[in-house]
Amino acid sequence: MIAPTLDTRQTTPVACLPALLVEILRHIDGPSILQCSSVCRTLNRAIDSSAELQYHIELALDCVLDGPPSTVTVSECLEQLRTLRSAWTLFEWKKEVRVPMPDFCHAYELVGGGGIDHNQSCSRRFISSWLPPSSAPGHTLVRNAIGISTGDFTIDPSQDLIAFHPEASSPILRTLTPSIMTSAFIQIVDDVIGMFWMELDNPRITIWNWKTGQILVVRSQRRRLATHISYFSFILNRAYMITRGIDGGSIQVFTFGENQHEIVHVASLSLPVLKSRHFVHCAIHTGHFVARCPPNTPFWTNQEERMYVLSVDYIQMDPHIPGARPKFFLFFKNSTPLRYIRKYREQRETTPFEVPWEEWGPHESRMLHHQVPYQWLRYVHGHRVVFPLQSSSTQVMDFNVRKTKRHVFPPQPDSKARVEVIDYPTIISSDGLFPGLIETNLPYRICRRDELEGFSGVMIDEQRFVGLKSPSFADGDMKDLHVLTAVERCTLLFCCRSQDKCYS
Amino acid sequence: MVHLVTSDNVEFVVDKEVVERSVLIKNMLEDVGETDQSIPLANVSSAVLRKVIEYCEHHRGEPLPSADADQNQDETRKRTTDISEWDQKFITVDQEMLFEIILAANYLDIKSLLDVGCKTVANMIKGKTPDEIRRLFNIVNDFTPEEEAQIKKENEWAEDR
Repeated sequence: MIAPTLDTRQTTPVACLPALLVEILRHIDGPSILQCSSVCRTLNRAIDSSAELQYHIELALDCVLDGPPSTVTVSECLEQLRTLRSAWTLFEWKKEVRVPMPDFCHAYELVGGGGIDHNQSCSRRFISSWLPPSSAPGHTLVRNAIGISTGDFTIDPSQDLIAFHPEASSPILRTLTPSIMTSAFIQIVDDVIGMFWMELDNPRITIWNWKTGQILVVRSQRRRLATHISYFSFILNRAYMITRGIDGGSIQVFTFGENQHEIVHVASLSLPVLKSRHFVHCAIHTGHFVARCPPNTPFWTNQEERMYVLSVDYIQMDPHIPGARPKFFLFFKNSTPLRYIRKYREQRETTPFEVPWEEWGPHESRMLHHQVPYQWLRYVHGHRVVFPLQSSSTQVMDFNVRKTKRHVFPPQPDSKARVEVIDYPTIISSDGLFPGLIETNLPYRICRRDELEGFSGVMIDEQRFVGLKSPSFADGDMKDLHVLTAVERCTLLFCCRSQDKCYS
Repeated sequence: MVHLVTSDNVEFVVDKEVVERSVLIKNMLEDVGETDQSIPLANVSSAVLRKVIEYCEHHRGEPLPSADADQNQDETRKRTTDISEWDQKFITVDQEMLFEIILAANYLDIKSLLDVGCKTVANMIKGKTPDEIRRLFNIVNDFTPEEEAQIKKENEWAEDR
């Protein structure tokens, strides 16, 4: 119990004792706490010496959210957060573990808290593997004969939910698709599942609330879907974007509600203007959406703080003009589409914003040449993107670059990591494609290690780097997972529950 | 009935059930047992105690946060600044009274009232610049220009959000 000051004339927050200041400031967000620290010395000292307030500032800095109540103290959480930040900033790992993986897998996902799920389409098996923390061995769970032949799948372990995309002959979605489904992509965000697929050559989007079973969005060529749509991604559980391939290419942002007539076209963000007619094929990749903090985890990635990676492919439309097929990657933050959604609502707009490239691209994105040696399965987690390189090594790009001493850690003496902050522009002068130079400035940090090479697939999550490697050809079908963990932390058993629910 | 005497020597006679929302007084009563003697509250003025009693009267009979629930309660209240309608109206007072209530709630150990007060101040601070905060609470900037520039530079990352 803290006694109040006896001097009752001085009734400003400064007059309160530090413990009371903390009591007040614990109710506000990290950035606002930081504002208070530059008000006066008393506030500055009170904030500096409170682990709880520092924790909230640094959660905001790392774009993560506090987890549910647990027995872990605030100081321990803060310590973990700093350890993790140091590991990613210096690109130093605590431990490397190898997990043998049986057979060839068709699709895989690394999901919250360390489960890798992969899918073998021919044998109809679904495997969940738990990645080891630095102290315990990993293990694997196999579910045979799940009853459908599957292509892609998606999972939200925080909700015990798995969605499969069944292949064409599946009975499950037959009522939905009378004809052949050629390629499909599914995403779960909180209470909604979205599916984007091609019915022959016609793209279709269906979004439904899996909790109520209600269909929220149905879009096809006949139902007001624009032409030349090549990809889809959720932004939030009530917003999505699609990419359109004509007029230089654009990203179209939509919001939706509980009924089908509530679909609103909010903005069209143009890609750079082109010299001649090309079809612009874009694929969007982003980190996994999870609805809640995974259990036993003190904090989790803020779902609104994510990167999108657009793979942009320029295809010459005039068959008489020979030419290369230039490919690029375009990186941008979720804050860009979110800002237009907010602006649209605040200004009570009724027509979508037409945003030229110059207005958003140069400062809110980074465009790089597409130099990926193999079919790169997306891997994005929050603000980090793991990226295979032509030289067979791998790099992690971290777009959460801030100028603060909280990002400065003493370098390791014999470090093999190479880390560089790219805060200067990238200039692309694609001959014949763009009328001028394309300059982009979104800052990022590149992290490389020479030993990270020879992987056929790479993934990251909050605390791990996972590389899939096919070692010798001796036994043909064994693969190794190389897991590099940044902190000691318990891994989870969520997939067990997911499986019980999904298949029983 | 419990007799309370404020710093300005005003006596209040309050229902035991009401006054026991203050953990400090509850513990005192448990220690001394049934008594007609008045309890002196040297740190609380009559104007403030009147408000505090008004609050306790209104929330009479509501469950008190137990010691076990403390941890949990800490978590749930941490990030929310929602205040109920009655409490909102109750706490709409001038700044001096607001801080007096916070200090009294802290001294008397009335957690829910302390919370209402702190959340109110938090809501006043939220989204304001350091300068606006200084003006709002009449705080003197006691940093040297160099210190201020350094802190500003260090905190810049949080501003572009």
